[in-house]
Amino acid sequence: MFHLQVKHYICAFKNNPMKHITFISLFLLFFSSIAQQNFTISGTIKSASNGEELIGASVYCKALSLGTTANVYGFYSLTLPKGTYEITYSFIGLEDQVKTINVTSNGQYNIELAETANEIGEVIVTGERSDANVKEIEMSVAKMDSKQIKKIPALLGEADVIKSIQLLPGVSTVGEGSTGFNVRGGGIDQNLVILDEAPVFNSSHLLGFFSVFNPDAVKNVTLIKGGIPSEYGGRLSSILDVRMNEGNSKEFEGSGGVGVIFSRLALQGPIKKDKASFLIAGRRSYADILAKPFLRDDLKDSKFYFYDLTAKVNYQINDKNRLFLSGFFGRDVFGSGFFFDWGNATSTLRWNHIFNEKLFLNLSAYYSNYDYKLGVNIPEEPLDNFDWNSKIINYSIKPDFTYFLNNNNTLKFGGQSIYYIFKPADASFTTGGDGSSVTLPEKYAVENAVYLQNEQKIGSRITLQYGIRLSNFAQLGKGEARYYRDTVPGVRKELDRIENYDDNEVIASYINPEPRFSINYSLDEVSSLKGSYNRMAQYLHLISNTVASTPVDIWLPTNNNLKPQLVDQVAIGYFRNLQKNTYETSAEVFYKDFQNQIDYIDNANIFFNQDLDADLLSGDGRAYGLELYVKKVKGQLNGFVSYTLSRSERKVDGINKNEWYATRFDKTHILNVVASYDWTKKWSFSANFVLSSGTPTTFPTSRYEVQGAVVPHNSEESRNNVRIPAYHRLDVSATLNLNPDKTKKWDSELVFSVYNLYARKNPFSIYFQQNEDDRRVTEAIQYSVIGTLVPAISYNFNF
Amino acid sequence: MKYTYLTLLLLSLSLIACEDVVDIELQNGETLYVADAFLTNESTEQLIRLTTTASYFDNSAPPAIKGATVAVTGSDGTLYNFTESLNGYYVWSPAFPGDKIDSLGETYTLNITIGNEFFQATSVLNPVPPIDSIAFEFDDDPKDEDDEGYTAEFFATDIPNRVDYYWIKAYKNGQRVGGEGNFSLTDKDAAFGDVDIDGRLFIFPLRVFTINEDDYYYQINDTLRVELYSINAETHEFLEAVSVQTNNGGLFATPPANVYGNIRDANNQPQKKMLGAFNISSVSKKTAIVTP
Repeated sequence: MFHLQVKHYICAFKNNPMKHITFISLFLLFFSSIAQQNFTISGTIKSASNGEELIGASVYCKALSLGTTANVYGFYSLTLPKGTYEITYSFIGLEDQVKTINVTSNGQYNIELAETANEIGEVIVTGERSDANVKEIEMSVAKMDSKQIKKIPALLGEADVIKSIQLLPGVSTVGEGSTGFNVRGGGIDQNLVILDEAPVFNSSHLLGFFSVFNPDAVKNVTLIKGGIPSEYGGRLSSILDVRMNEGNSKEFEGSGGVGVIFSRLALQGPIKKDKASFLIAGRRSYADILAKPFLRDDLKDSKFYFYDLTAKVNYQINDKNRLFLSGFFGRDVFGSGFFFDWGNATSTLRWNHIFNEKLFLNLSAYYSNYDYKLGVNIPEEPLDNFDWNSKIINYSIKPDFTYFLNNNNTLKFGGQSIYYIFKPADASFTTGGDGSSVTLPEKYAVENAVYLQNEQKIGSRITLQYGIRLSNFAQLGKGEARYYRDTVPGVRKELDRIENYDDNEVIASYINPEPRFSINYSLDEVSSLKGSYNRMAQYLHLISNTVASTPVDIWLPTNNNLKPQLVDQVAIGYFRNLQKNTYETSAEVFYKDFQNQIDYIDNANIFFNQDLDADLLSGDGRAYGLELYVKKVKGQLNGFVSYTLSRSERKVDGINKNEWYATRFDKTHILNVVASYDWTKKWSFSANFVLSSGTPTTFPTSRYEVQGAVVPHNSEESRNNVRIPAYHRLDVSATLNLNPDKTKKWDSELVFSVYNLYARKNPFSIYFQQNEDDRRVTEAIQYSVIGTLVPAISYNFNF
Repeated sequence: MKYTYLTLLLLSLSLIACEDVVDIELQNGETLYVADAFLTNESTEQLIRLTTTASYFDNSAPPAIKGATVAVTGSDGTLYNFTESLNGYYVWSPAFPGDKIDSLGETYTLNITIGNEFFQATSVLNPVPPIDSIAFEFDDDPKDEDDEGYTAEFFATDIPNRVDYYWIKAYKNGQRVGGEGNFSLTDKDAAFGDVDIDGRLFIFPLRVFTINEDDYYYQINDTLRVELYSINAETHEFLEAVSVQTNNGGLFATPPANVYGNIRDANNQPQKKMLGAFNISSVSKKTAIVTP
């Protein structure tokens, strides 16, 4: 076709000189369109003051209306046609940097952004572009940075990562003293909590009063409740991705605090300026020492303390390679004579490799050990003691590739392989000097996944994210598979037979495709509609039948009896920013359909039971709700309001006459208001107010006597038929900055806080028992975990 | 064993936690039958009590079931009749001194007829080991000079080559330690949890914590009588479940659950109309007095 046209024009040219111009311009235009090339600029964006990567930093070319954001390791890639452009690099809280780049070939441009002149306090590392709420594909996601977390008044003045995310829509707990949290109707074991890529099985210290994350070392926390991208898997309801600081690579820095319950210290600095840095952060509680004078006699010798330690080192080998090594160790010890002791230890090695301007790889390998012990060790009785311990060890390797195909398509692909060793019980005891030991057989399993995902921009309005994750779980030998006879649901099953398997023989295996899909439809500059669907599979299950989970609750792998849990979630939301991104608002509705949810027969025997599977029941679940969220991000007064209206239910044969019943953690209404006011350079104040419906419980209808005990009974066979009274609480804090004009290197502040300001005895549970003095009288007792106001002072410093 | 760590945690939280009696309105439910049938192999009166459930806050004595027929049959066919007495009690008396229900290893069947409904339960009479000795050790509270006295400990060894469960009752000067309605049960073979350890001395917590009161030492001239009862595995589950439901509370409460015993209908199917349990035990006892 072209050939003919050229001929035509040449003839025309020969015949008509005026056409000369048209021909030349057309010719040039044509050739320039084939000759026009695209080049990619890429690099890493860091903070000029401490060298930390700026997650989510924005790279924008105004002339072409094209942009991108830096990934979790600060890496960005932007493809532009040949030409000269002004590229703006920005990050909230730091000075924008505009670079004029002559794009004639692929180039690496590493950027460092400096602090703005007026900024008080530390760098906010997660300031993404101010319209991220509306523009980004993600929905059902909440992010918090270290600065935001530290502003929220918390129990005993200690800022806490997990307590902060509990204020977000869709997140709840059953009350103080519960070790986990619930997201959109999911149990506490349905949240994947990862710390620099490694999983944390129990994210609390001291029964959930504090989390294991040291806020001084935390850079950024992301909670994904829905529309979960393909790179994540393994749990049904949420991903809590916690990233620690890498360590100031420019200068030595220290920070810490002294509080009522524990103290913390974090030291970081360069090992080789701009090349290698380290971070060590630790906390240790001393509540046991302080409380000694107040304890009852029989508890005088009790120990209860916890500590955690994070140590990281990173080394930038060259422009294309960076290595990170990190370790996390935490422990809780509790007891006196009888003791229990549990902890996590993880170590992770990560390698960032930039193949070229479009292909980025992060390869992580980790080792994790979660163990818990309980026992009896009375020094006066050396002939009689007991200890029982249980562990989960896992090894994993996880490659994650990002391929910036072009400006409209970003591909992510990779996988993960995890090898598990479960040691359910290793007990040894001595009685009257006679020793013996018992060990329940170890269990082995492997969990694998591969995924492929594309994020695609279509036109100026639509962004799609679609992908699939294929996961597989196999329980391996050496081990045994126990089979039980079916019986009336709700009754303990009888053992039928045991089959034995050799080393690495497959005992049971499951494979699940998990499709993921999200869409963002831009309505206008300030608002968008988003929708998502995800299917998730979960292969590890937390077995706990207490009201609040205890640290000795048991994690079990999927096996021949326990099927993988599955969920399908659909969510739709409307997102709008108001007043030039001063307010971020969103409204989301979700629906989740769960399969293979675990529940227990009445009076199930959880502890040290080889036939635990015989006491478990499996059923369906469903959860649905509405989440409303308004956040003010700028100004002296800022904060957010979140409201959730939801329901979460189960249906299990053998429970509640086979009808739907509310889960133990179902709360109909949850309202959280968080506000902080920066009054002057010296003083700032914050407050939070929480209000939620009571949790469901089962009340008896009748009583009877047997062998002197008065026993409650529910003759309707109901489960969770009643709600306990509502929960509400107000916390306040005031922070006094002792170095307001930044005249000294030693930065410090005093935080005065009161938890539960109006001293409400928030009910945790209502239970029924016989009166101590007159055993024939029965009464209802309301139990509150914290029934008074708790004031505290803490001192924080930074140098 | 399971309760100790729970209590410990509860106690430490007691600094700031609180418990208050509250007024709650409860629904009423269907009335069910209850059989309290714990027999022993001693030559004494044996009692079986039949009552019905009442609404939860009704503090009066449980309503008696009148006009029922209650009988226990041995596997050899021997019939033991129980005659109705007051307050729902049905009584069997020894016909002559030494008369008892005492065939070790035998399965006994309880038959109850109420109107035109039949109920049945079985229990095997299991052996019980003797209590070898009781010792008292002088102890004082290091924090309180005035508080001193003796801590008691009994010694008994689990019967080897069989799975056993026992119920320990202790009486200090005739009063039950821990109160009626508080059960001190052993785990399997008087060891820990479900481990396969057999024929050993009862573990330390059972030897001591089941027979001493929480806040009081034994003093000179106090009498301690320790009794050991053999119970079936099903009865152990039942009594443990009752214990959990009547002591359920605090941070680690398990969800309230109904307790069903071993009483079945005429077709030997488990049913939910008759609560309670039937068990026949062998008993061994030992008494000791604190001397200086």
